[in-house]
Amino acid sequence: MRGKSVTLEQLEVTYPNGFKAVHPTDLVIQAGEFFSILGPSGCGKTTILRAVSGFVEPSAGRILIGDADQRGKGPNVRETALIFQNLALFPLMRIWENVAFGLEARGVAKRARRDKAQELLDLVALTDQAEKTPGELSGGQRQRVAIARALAVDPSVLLLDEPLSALDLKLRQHMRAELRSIQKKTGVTFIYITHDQGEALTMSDRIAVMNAGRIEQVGTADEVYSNPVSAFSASFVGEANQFAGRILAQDGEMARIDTPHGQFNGRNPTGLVVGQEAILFVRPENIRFSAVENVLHTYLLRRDLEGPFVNLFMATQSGACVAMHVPNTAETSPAMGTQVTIGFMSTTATILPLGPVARTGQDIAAE
Amino acid sequence: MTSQRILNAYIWAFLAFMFAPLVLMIIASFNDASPPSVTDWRGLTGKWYAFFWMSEAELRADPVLRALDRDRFIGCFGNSLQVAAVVVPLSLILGLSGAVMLTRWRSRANGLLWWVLLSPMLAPGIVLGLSALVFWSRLGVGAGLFTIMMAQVTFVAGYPMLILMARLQRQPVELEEAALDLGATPFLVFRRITLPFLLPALASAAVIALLSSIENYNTTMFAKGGACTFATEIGAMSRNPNGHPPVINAVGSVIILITVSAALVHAVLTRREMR
Amino acid sequence: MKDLVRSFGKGLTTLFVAAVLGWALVLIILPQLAMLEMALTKPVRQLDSSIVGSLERDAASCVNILGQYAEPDTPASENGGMAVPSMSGMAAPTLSADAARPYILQCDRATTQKRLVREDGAEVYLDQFYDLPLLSVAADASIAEQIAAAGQIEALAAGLYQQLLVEEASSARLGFGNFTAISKPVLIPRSEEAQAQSDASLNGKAMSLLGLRYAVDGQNYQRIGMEILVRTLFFAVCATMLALVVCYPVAYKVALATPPQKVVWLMLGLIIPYAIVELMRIYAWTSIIDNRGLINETLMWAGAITEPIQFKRSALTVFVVIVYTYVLFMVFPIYNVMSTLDRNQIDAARDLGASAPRLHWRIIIPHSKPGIAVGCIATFMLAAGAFSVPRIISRGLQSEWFSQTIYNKFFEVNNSNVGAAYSFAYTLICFLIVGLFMWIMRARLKDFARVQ
Repeated sequence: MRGKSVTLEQLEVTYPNGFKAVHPTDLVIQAGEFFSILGPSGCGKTTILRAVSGFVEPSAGRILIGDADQRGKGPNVRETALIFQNLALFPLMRIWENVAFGLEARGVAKRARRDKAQELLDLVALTDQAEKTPGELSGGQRQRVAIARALAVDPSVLLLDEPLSALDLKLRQHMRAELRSIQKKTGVTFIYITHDQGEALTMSDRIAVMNAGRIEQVGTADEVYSNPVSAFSASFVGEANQFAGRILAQDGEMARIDTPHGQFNGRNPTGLVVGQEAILFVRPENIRFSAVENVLHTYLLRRDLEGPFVNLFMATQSGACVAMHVPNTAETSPAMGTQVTIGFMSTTATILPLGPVARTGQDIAAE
Repeated sequence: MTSQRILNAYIWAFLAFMFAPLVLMIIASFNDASPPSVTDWRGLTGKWYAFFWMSEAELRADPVLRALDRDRFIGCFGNSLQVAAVVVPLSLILGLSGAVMLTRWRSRANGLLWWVLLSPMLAPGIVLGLSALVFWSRLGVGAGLFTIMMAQVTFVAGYPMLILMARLQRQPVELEEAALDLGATPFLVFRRITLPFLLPALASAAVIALLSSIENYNTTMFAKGGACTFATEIGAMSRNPNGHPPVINAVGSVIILITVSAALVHAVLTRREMR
Repeated sequence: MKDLVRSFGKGLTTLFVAAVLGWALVLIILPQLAMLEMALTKPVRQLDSSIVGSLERDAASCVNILGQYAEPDTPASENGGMAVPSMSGMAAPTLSADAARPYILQCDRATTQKRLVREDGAEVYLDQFYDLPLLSVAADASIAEQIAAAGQIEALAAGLYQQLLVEEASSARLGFGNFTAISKPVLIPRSEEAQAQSDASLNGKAMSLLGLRYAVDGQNYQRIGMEILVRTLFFAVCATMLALVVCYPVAYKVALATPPQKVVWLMLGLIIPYAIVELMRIYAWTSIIDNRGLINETLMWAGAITEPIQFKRSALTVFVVIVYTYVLFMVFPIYNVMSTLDRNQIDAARDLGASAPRLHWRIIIPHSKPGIAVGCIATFMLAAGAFSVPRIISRGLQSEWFSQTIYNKFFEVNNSNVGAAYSFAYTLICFLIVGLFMWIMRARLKDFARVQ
């Protein structure tokens, strides 16, 4: 296993103008895992990445790679390698020179450098491109050169800054699989930051959800998706219908919330008590056309075809808009305006404390 | 549209005005008349050009050319080259340093530095020459090629600085960071990434610095003391109240030829780049 | 500074910082300070000690020369009767009819009634000021008496000289006298008709209006220094205005009114004259305006004139050549900024019914303001500092250009302190004008760099 663990102890970053980019954060990333930090633009994930790689000095706290405190070490000394959002390939050098650059910096002889570069180009399936310049390659190929270049220096930790955001859909999906396989093959710890939750969910061993300088939740994809512990997590990762209200009753792990659109039961993982303000989150795919447990009387507002799936937007008399995500079959396509009864199981709903949300229910309807 | 036609006619007139004196100068350089004239045509000749490589005997044979001190002229041109040999590299180094400091140095004094380094380009050339003369003589260095070099560098370095600044700012900062991240020392980054990137700008800056140095008159006149350069010699020759031979016309025509070809080449290259 | 070290390493950063410091200090700031110091220092030859020193030398030479006439029967000495060369220049003694000795310049100059130089023009004499007896070498006294008198003067002068040297070394030698010399009025001896002619001219009227010319007791005074300064600046401003008016349409045509393929050729037509060395552009005009140049020859051939027009005596000629030489410095800044204007704005304006004048005044000119400002500044500074043009075109025969005045004062009359003052003051005034202009136009130095 080549990778090392990365530990953040009370890491804090405040910019000279007073803006606190990262609030005191503790995080442990295991050696050899594919770890994603997921969050919207400006949430501080890039800052954490640059702090780990050495381009940003923490205002407080420590960063450890393996067991070594990284304080005072410049980016050219750390065992990290950074893949930039715009790749930053050296335009005036050939591909093999790009890949071999890290070795050149370490004083490796030209012959040896060339061979190692070729080895890595084989790894990323760019065997014949060694003599070309970056300008002559496609986006996906350049992506792979950046990875090869970073791997050439044998890093313990590979840091990826939204590397796939500039690629088109098909290529993105292909690259996701590639990155995953390279990571498994080399065993290097990957820290991958993105705002695309689909990417994070498919590629990562674990995910950290981040907002406004704070990490809201850390867990596996399933944990973060199905058991969110904050309103932000619930609304940012995947889609969720939201019902805001006040806790009516509480019983062990479940609770009952009173909202303008009705009273509903849901899980209560954070231990809310009666009288507290809260939001109930339920995902569109968990809403059924049957009057199970939590019931809503709605009529069809809008139907968006997504191919094998359909997104239905149902409106209640009380003004709520509920999104449903169902397979595209005849019984799941009611006529416009007809009264439909829908419902969801309490175990599929989560009630969480009031907090900042990524998107409100109205935004989903408006989209 | 008559306004368009008036505008077109105006542009043609303007261009004609700009080129006319130069064309006349070229024509006069082939006229066997001294002082140079376009109206007093005495026959086509190339001797004003041949002046520079004529043998001594031929030189003495011609009544007009005999009066010219060719060796002095060539000596002065040599001085110009000597001066340029120091001014060009020095102004490239200073210009690069200035460009780096102005683009990368984050400090409140940055604005002040701007003003100070760019002020020689704004100031009248005579002042620069004069102050260099005064300053160095205060330090005990007499007027001559050295003071000319110092005076010229003061403002010539501004051109590379502006050119390099524009180029430096176009370099994505990630390139430097990526190189550092891969383990390069800052010096390696500069040598392998930044410098190659700056090379085209350095080349054009060097050419501009060279031309500025050789053709400079105002500053050089005040800083030179007794020395002479290509430009001051031409100035002195054309000041001769008794007229001057069209040898200068010949020199001028050659300069025009070089300039026109360089400009054409540059235009063709840019057009090809644009396609 | 830290990020510089991080980006470039200690070695390179030291190089950069040292280079910039060297440039700023050694090449830019210190020379200006040296100039200022020189400008503030009184010219040596105006110092009392210098005057006393030359008096001492004159007296010593007088004694030497007189020594040869002490025995009238002695044959001429081996070096031909020439006295020891004195620093104040030598004339061979000439014989005049009844004198005991021929006229000797140095003896004539060896008198303690020497006029000292004072800034305010007051009449102060050496003997009165320093309490010395009034001595001189009388041409009609006997040789022995003359030698005695000269020797006495020499001794007195020597003592005073040493004393003054010590005094002057310890006292402050700085003053603004050199600067005020610019506005010093000079008595111009002119005949009545010539004066009347001068007064009637536009130039004369303007100058009197500014207080630069006046008459006292029938004597005409002119503040020549200021006159030349004002005239040069006036020409510079005019040249700038003219260049602006001439260049604006050109810049407009190239930037906004030409299809892209043609732009390259038009630009070529502008860049070529711009790239040709300044000296050649000026030189090309000499054969046009010369006495036997194109214009004169053509006019004479056409019979319009019989005598060649002395173009090189006219300030207007220099003005035209200045405009020709520097006009392209106005075109490129304006063009650069104009070409960044979104053409859609022009189309939108036309679509809304704007006439051409309104289009320019409300849309194109406001957008091009930085370019216009930069072009005006560049042209003004070049025109104000023009040295090559007057020198080559007028062959130095015109005295109306301030740069020429600076040159004269500094090099040819060996009055370098005043020359330094002139130069420093001139730069200051030019920068002030530019600063004022930039403040009015709200342009910043960064625009200047961008537009290059």
